[in-house]
Amino acid sequence: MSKGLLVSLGVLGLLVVGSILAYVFPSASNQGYAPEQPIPFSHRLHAGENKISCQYCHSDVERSKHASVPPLGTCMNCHTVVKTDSPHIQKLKAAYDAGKPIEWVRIHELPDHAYFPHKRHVAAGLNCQTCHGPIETMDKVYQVSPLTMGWCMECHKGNTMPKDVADGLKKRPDFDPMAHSLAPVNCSTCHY
Amino acid sequence: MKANSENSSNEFIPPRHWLGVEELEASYWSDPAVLEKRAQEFYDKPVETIGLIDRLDTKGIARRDFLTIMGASMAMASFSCARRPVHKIIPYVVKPEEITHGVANYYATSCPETGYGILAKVREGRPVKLEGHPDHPVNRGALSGWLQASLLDLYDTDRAKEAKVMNRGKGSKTISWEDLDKEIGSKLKAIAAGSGRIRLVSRPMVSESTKQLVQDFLGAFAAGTHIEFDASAPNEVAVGQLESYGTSVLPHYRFDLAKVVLSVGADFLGDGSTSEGYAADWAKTRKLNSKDAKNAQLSKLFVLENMMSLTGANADERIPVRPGDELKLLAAIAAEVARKKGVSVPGEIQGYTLAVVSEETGVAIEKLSEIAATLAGAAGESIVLAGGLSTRHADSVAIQVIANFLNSTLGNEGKTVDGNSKATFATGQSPAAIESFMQAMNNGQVDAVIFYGVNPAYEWPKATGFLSAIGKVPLVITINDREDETALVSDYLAPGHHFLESWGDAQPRKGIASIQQPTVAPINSTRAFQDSLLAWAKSGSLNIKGLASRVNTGWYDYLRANWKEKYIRGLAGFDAGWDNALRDGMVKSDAPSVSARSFRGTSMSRIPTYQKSKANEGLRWVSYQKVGMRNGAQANNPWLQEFPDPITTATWDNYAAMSPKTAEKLKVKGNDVVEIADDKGEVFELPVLVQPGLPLDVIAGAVGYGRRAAGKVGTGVGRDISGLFRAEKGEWIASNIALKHVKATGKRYQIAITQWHNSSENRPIVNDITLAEFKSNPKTSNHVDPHLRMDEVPTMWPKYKYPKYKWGMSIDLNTCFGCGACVVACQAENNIPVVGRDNVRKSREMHWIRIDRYYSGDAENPDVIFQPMLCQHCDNAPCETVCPVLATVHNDEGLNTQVYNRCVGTRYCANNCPYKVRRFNFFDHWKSYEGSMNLAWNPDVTVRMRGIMEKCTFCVQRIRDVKDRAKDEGRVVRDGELKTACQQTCPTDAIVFGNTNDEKSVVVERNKDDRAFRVLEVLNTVPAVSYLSKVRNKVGTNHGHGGEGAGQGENHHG
Repeated sequence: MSKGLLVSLGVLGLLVVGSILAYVFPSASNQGYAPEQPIPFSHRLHAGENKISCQYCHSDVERSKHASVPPLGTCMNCHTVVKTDSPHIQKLKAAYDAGKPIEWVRIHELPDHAYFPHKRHVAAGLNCQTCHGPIETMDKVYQVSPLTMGWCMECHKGNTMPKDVADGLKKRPDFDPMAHSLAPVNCSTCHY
Repeated sequence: MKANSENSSNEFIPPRHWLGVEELEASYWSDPAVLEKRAQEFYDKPVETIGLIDRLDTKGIARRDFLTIMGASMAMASFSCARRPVHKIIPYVVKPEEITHGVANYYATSCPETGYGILAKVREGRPVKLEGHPDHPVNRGALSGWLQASLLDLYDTDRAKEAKVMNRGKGSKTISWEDLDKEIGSKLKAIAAGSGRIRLVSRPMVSESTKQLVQDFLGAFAAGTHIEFDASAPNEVAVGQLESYGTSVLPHYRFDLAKVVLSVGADFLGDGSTSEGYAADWAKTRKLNSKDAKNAQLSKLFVLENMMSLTGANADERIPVRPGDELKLLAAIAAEVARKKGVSVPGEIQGYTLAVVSEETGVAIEKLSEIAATLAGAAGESIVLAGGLSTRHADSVAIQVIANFLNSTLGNEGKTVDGNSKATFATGQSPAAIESFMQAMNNGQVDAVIFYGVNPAYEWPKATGFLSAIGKVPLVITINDREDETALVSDYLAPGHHFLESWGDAQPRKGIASIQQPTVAPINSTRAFQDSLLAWAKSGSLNIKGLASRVNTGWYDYLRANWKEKYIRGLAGFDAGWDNALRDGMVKSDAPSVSARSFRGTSMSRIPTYQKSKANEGLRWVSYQKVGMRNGAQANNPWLQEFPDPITTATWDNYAAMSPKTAEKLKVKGNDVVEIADDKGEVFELPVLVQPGLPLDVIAGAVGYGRRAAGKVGTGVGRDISGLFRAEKGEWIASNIALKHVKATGKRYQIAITQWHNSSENRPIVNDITLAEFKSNPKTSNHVDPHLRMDEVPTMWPKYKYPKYKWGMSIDLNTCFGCGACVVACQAENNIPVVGRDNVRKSREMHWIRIDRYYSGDAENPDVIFQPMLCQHCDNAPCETVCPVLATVHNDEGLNTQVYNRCVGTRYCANNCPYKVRRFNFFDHWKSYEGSMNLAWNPDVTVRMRGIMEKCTFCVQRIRDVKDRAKDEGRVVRDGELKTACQQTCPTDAIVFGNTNDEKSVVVERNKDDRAFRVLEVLNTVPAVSYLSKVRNKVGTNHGHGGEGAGQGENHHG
């Protein structure tokens, strides 16, 4: 057997093992995940073109750990009069009238053992886009950030933290210049 | 830290604090079997068990199944993990205004059985935790274990899910509510038109509005009667009050004003229906401050009892007495007190002199005269109380009368004993009333019976003949929550709501009207009891006066109308007043002034003239209620089944408790199964538990077990002992029952007891001293080990920096009375699973906080000390250094955190923890929750899977919550703002929690007290939890606490 064949077989073998491993142990990240939704709601249209504030719909983002997906009632605030001829809106209205919620497919999802409060991050001055990407340009929402622990940590340490947020934290009376991170990086910050 | 015998070459010094009497023998410490046990990771290996009442012990997965599943899931993993499962987000259609997703709402409500105020933490429409209402004057923020656990009753999958035709136990079938109302309505109509002999049987009601409704309903019948009776309530107290003062009440005792308390069998600290307020008041007289040690004051608690109750365990002086001797002892004390106070001694008790009674009962005359003298010296500032199951024998009412005589003679009546401020206690409903009820049923003079929230087929003594009498009643309706024993002898089951699902009110004391509001939509198709009555009034067109004007739609209207009439009358707008009442949970008005009632000397005729008798010699049975399981109504609640009894630390069973001497006499050991037979032919078997502190020849056993129809968890757990009970001459007798024999059967049964799971290896763990010692030198109460004080130890570890907060806890052993409410509160807050009896036997219980109980002194009458033990959050944590994957690490607020997702389950940390507070998930224990029970999980805390370690987190989720609020408001967390679950429910504020960086915090103040010590300080673990030594108000006798380090000290450093 030639040396070249051996090498190429070896490489092939590694590839096979590697791909099996990658298949069996996929990355925790779902980056890029963009599932079909029951109603093709466009953030570009609502948040981008019509400039509806994010918090009009995601109203709990400053009050709770959840940003919250709006109840159908919020959609119907406008859609009793806007675009009532669209089949999607008719589907929405039918669900609303029947008292049946729309079951959206969850895109951004952290494991149960990770505690993430939207509220604190918004209070620190982070924009939605810092994590969720150019959401106002998306017709179909996809997961922009990896949402892995390493990605969280880089920001908490200050490495990838937006400058205005970092400056804001540094101005706080309780800021400790000797601390090795800008935001807390205890395990119990997120896991309990 | 080897056994004593190795160090002290000749003389064996028994440990000062011990777990069981075995440790008092030198041979125990050199027994190779014991040495091996103590050296291994788990003390108990499963012994051969007998199948006495073995149920639910393999709820987890058996090992073989587990391996099979593991193998299969490994194979599946490669397919299923490729893509995460698709999860849905299902928003509300129209979101209720009050709900913010992820943020809890709190609703004020009340317990309809006790009138306690409750704050229910509700997440997205479902209650996840119950807490005492801090402003409620009765329970003041505390809730006992059984009420904490009642949350799980709400989600119990064995509750009746719809109305049923029960056919008297011959096969039930579902019926719609409409059909049920039609059928019952027509039958009631016929009865109302006929002789109208209907009985409604319930427990004594604290809800005035419900009582009113019952009266209205029964008013439609010519001979309708409401029987309020609870077999486990202290009815004898009410009867005694009626005889002595003319009013049938359970008096309200003011323990905060009492310097001396004498309890004859009354378990006022362990009875979860009044103990919260009583314990809080009692604890006020038990607080000490070392800065003012010279003038320290402690109240004194004397207990005379025939078993070991929680109150007895907390007594300064506890005297075990044989059942049947209580009357004589109390009469002798009463006569002596009367003499000392210069009051003429009533003729009835003149014969009871200290000398003769002391000689007969064997209780030292010095003790009796000490009690009498102490009481006489605290006139108007003492309390004498009695009653409860353990004294429910022929003398029970006579004992009450003497207690009343003492209170009146001492001038306590109207001061510390308040007979005015509680509502009448179920007037005239004594066991005698039940007997005439039985007679009426047997004679066919009862047309219909409605049972509500009461289970006579299980609770009432078999001797009453209930089961045969009920067969003669044409119509039996049960409004309980499940197909229980009484439902099985009924025609219909019209399941009622859980109290968290329904409207109601409660008047626990005059001047307090407490509201009960629903906190969740009904889980099953059930209906409130009150609505059922109203529905039947309608479907049977019963003629109820004035009902139409009160009720449009049902009970809610009725309740509001009643409140409009009675409680919110003075306020301008009723609706505003009602809303305020809902928010506050109650309406307070002026409490009636307390005045001394005059004692009726004639009631003393209850007391027989003194006669020396041997009537109560020989083996005697004593019944009692366990702190957790109580009367067995909540037998299907796994939290309560697995709650270790504060005294015996036993779970999941009842047992025959007997003193070491009795066991020796009967030639039995712990876990031997004995056959118990009474003189009337009742025979049953129970396992033995050797319990120090019981009188000789007394066998004590708990009621509330052996349910025949409680549900998957509770049916058949333990043994029903009610066959022993007597119903004679209008009295129910549960104790001082003569036993024909108690003999070993040769069988063994391992009681699931947690006592030995965490051996102290004879190291000094707890500390208790006497008041005199404390006064002379408060430093004596400092830790027994003076050599290594925490702050003085040089350490090789770098010190942690805690820039903002450093959380710490202090537990006052002087006010901790061992009730265990914290254990259940922690279980509810932190999603702690239940493991079942068999796993408890294998030391796999999961409680994050446990109450360690130590004995000291005389094996036949030991002192007891309770010590809540939880993760100590050490600065130099031994667990942290051994974790190979850094799953347990320190955070910058002093918490020793456990990272579940990193843990790989080596269990090194648990091995290395000197406090034995780490808990390992051997199985997916959480899977034992099924169906609606899953709604009880706290969504803020991770539910742990198999294979990982867990332990107390200092309620880190609560810390986060409060810090979050503080950050929003741009401030730091205030002292006292943050309460852990255990602290929140502690009736006596024994537990305080706070930021030890804050020099002004209560926890720092307590740490500076001379009584403060940390457990195993010698190890230099630097725990964040400190304890305050217990101080007993007694003359030191059996400890010889000569100086620091006496006793065990030399064992370690010798």
